[in-house]
Amino acid sequence: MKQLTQALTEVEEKLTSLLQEVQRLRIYSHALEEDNVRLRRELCSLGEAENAKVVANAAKIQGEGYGNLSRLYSEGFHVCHLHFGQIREGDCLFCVGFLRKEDL
Amino acid sequence: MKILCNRENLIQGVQVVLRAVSAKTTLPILSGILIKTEVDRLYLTATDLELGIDCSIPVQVIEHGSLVVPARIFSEIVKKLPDTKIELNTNNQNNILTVNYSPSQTTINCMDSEEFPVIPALEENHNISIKSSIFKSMVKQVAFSAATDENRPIFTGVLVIIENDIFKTVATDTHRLAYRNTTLEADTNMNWQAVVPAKALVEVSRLIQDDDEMIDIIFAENQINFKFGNISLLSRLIEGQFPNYKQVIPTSCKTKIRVLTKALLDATERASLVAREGSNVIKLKVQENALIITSDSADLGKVYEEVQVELQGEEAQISFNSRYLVDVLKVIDCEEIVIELTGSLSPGIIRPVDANNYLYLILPIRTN
Ligand SMILES: [Zn+2]
Repeated sequence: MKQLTQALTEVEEKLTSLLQEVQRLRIYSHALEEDNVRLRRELCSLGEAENAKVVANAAKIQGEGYGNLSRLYSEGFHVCHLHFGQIREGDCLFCVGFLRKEDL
Repeated sequence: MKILCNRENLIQGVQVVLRAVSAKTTLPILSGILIKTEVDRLYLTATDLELGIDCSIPVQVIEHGSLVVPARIFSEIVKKLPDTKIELNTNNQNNILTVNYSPSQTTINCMDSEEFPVIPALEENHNISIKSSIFKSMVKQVAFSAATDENRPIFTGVLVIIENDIFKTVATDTHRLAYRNTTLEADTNMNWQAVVPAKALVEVSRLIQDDDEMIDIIFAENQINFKFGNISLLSRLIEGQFPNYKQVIPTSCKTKIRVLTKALLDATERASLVAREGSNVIKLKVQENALIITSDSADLGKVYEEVQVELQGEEAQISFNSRYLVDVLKVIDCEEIVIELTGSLSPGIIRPVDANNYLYLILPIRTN
């Protein structure tokens, strides 16, 4: 009889530890789930910010692009696609043609 | 090989192909001229692998054969030969050429013709024919605008366009641009374009002996062949995309003047004498009835030129590199020209007054 009581106690202890394990895992899983939602939300908002940037950039290019390219050209760099960004020696017909087209 | 020929023909043949003899010594065989008999002619060939020229001269063939003669020494000897019947005789065992001009003779150590690169014959399914005089004038009016800077290979070429019966040429060094077209005598049913080294076109122009003869031009994937008289010149094409030249040509103008070519050339040349070295800046001021050209140099002095013009539109001021202006005025081939301007930053356009087959663009210099 004493042996049986001891066996039951051992089973109870094991069950308790399993239950604790389950509870710990549940907390962990909950945390992961929360993380997941947060990351998902971040990802989405990141997209929106990026989107806004693209829109702003497009506006900037449309609004100031010509000015920037023309400044780049007058600072001595090619803006034509042949030599874009390279230092130019003298004026370049293709840059001027390109800037004129942008100006229209 | 054993042949008899006359001195004049031999000199002509050697002089013609000498232009293609390689200046580089990386391949010794290319410093030579291949001479080879065929039926009753002697073919002389030289190539630097970019440009190949061959020329055939009438000879009396006694025994067929071929050999590569060292170009430099052979051309010197040929030039100094007496005016008599000349016999070229080779001993193919040891590649020695004997030049007999009785009673004297010279022997030259030569190279084996087997080592000479074969110049491929192009298939003749894409070809056009153009009169020499027209071809020469096109090259003269366009090729000078190509760049000489080998760092930008595409601009060292002339863009050649065939659209049915229209033959167009364009060259630019990005500071100025020349365009010329002509209508061919026959429709080619072709749409083809390529960038041909300006050097090759100038060479063909220089080698043309008879302005009335026709030049046959044969086009291939990466080569172009010109045949005229007893000469055939083969050149490789320049790889790469030639930029859209139409995009740089202004379509409208604010100022339009008519001026006598010679008067403007003389005034520009005088003004360029004191234009600052390097930039060669001259200033143009367009007024009612007059074009004022000025230049000054702190060291040399000042020039003031006044040329009579007919003005349409606004008065204007613009600065040009005098060299670019002089270049076009020398080749435009028309007594009177039209200059079109749109502000001091846009390219000026120069055209002959009586034809619309030529156009020259010149970028102004920005001055403050
Ligand atoms: Zn450019």
